[in-house]
Amino acid sequence: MKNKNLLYIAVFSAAIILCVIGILALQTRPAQGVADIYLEGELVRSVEWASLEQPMEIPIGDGNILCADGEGVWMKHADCPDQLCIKQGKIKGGALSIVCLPNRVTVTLRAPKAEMDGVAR
Amino acid sequence: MNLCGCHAPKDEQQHFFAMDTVMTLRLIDASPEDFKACQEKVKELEQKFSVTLPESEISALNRAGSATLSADGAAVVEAGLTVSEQTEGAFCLSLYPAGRLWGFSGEEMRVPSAQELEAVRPLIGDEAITLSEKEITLPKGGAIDLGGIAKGYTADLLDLLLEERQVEHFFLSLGGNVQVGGGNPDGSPWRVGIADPDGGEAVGVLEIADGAVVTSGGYQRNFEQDGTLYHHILDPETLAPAKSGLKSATAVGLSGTLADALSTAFFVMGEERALDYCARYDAECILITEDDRVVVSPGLKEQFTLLNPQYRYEK
Repeated sequence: MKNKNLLYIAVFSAAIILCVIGILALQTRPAQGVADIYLEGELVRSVEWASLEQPMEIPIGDGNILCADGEGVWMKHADCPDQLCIKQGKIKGGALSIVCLPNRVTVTLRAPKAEMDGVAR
Repeated sequence: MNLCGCHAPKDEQQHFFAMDTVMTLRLIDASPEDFKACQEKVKELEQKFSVTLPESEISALNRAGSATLSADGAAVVEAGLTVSEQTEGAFCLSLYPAGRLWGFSGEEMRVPSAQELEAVRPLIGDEAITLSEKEITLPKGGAIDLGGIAKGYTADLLDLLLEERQVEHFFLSLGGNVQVGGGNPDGSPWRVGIADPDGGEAVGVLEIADGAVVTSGGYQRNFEQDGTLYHHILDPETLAPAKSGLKSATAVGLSGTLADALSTAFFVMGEERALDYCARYDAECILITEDDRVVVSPGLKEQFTLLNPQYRYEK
């Protein structure tokens, strides 16, 4: 009887430990290959670009079109006067962002933690 | 979720637009009220410092030639005048009339004539500004622009605000001005990339737990005319875009205010003068030269790692 109780305790403990490990793994999993698109500071869409096999166009508001493929994201069209977001070209590394200031659009790439937290520019 | 006594930190960020740029607040284990307080502080300071908002105290000063500033306004101007003096005028608050001629203050960007620049030259030079407590007087016709220092001061106030609100870990980017605190919640320092002036992957990464990392470069705002590229960082000596042999200059330190002003000054001063300044005033910098060298001041060598093979790191 005592051995049986010990076995139950061992199995129960192992199950708890596995659950905790699973939960922690989910919580700390780095988000990779995802672009978060913000309009006026509000998150309007997240796109998993790293797994794309074909280029994909994503309209943002009335004035911008973002493009994404398996290698990164870039601003394809902007109706703003300075076109700085277009000139920035394709971004793929972590902590980089595309900003269209006149249209209040920000696109940020989530990065694995090991790379960098942000870029001074 | 809190099992076994440990918990994953709540890591959230907000983007918003202020001071003619995008701001990113990344706060760890913070409340919605913490984010709101930060945004309100930025908006409050923008109302004081802006040269484009007609009701700001700086706009009023530029119209009237003298004013009684707020405590924040006086603190920023005083810090700017100190850096101006220490850098022998490489940082200059009173360049605004020249900046307007070049169109870098919202007007159409163009190359002004030599006569136009000579006409505003008597207005340029911070030694003609008098500040006594909060009372400020500009030379007749003069005007100031806090654009080279206001975001750094704002970052310092957010740093203080977050400390008061007991938000221990944060990573702020105010239009690319980075201000960090508390290190990463996992115990490692924050990893701050240094932008590639040519638009590629970051040149390198700097590990820093607390402080400010601010970069200035000609790539940030510029225009092309007759095949020549003109950037927005003017040399107070020539009133033309600075040609100091640098693609960018990054200042690193505990104070965002100082780092902001010094990054501009270092870009104007060039490699030799910037390194001399760092040695004299115990400041730190990362310079990227036009021949693709990365020059790092002695105090940062252990914290900086080159990532982009286009550049050569001179240890």
